[in-house]
Amino acid sequence: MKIFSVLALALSVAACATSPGQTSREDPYEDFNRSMLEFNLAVDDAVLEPASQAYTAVTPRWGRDRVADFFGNLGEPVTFVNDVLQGEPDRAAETGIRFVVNSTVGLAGIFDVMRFGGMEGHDEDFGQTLAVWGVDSGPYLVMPLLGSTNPRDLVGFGVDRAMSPTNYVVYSGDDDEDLAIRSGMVILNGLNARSRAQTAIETLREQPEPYIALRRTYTSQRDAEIRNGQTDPNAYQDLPDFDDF
Amino acid sequence: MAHFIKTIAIAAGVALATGFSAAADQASENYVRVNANAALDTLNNPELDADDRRAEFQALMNRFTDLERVSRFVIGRYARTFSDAEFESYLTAYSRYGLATYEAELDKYRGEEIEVTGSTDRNDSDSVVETVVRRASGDLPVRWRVLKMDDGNYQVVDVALEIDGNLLWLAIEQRAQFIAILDRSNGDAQELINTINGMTARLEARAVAQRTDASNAIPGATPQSGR
Repeated sequence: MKIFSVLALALSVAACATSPGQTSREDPYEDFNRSMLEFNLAVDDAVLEPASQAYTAVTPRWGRDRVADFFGNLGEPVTFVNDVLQGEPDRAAETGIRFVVNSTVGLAGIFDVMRFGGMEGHDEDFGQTLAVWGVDSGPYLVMPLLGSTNPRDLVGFGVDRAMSPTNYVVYSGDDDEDLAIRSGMVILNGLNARSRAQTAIETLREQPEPYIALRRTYTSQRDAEIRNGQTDPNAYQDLPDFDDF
Repeated sequence: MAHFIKTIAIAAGVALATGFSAAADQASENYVRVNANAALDTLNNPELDADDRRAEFQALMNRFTDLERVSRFVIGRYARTFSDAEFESYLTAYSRYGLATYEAELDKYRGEEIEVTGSTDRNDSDSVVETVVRRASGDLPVRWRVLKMDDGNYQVVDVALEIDGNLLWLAIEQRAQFIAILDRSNGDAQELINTINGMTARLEARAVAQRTDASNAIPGATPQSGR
């Protein structure tokens, strides 16, 4: 499959480069991607949005915030590892402190007490780590259910999932029961995340070209995340001329 | 995932860093400071009814932005392929869409102020003015692309929102979407006009609903907190 050959190509880029890998603006799989976006929006329409609305109806905002804090805390070990892999000791220390304090004082992460105390969290993932190591993104992709990505981020997603401690925690000792608990957590996290994205998804649907809007925003936002939220120092250099048309 | 979804939401909601060099063109900064705050003053003026506010806002926007230049920019090369009649129809639709956007979205900024924090000259006639909208929910960095015209006047041609380090220039984003529509319809002007009119109709319906909600509200009632 083309996707896997592109993926292999993306990962074969020399990882010794010192500058972050480029994010491709090319879109050779546009037809496939548009079909997948259409599919994802149809699934959202038929299943995710109604489920999210039902969840929102029975879960007050306070409760949804606690669920978000809880799952955010569970993601901190992955962020920590990626901070280390990116050679960011200060950010790694910050993540480590947040995880320890929120897991204890914050009652297993239900309360992000460190944010209340002024230390905001940040997200790092293996896709960003690959970019910091100099791996180019490869072309834009939309995957079924997963949504916007690219070969670099797709690999990163798999690595992050594999290294997440939640996969290895033994809850009851019974494999079937543990699988049910893990599945329940995935569903709860997904429902909660979907409920928080309601306005954004409505806005996306209202765009004149939702596919283009999503592709451009995903690409530029990933670049910003790789820069750890710093604006591009050359942001004004490539602005187009308004007199050409 | 959450970051870029949030970016879309905030960018479209406004619809309408800073390691750069310090203030370069004082006149551009003054232009943005005076006119952006005048627009907010229009929103904040309790003596204006909805129709007056709309008329005043439209006049202000006509002075503040070079709508025809922007309308040409957002269709790129198709500005040269549209017939005069098609371009006129498109410009009419685009102007109406612009006003509907302001009406539907800018009310959210009632009571707020814009503070100029710096600027960068790209060249003698092209500057980016950096501002912050002071909001109760948190500051929103906004940048304005200001061109100096041949007659010495200034015009705003684009606005950028900075969200978590991501600069989104609204005209540039709109251009990408409009050109995609035209590319996929073999440059059919009517296809784009219909799309724009559809967006305008949705915005106008939303504005009507907001006015209805406002007129149904009990005077003096305490607003609900939270979103």
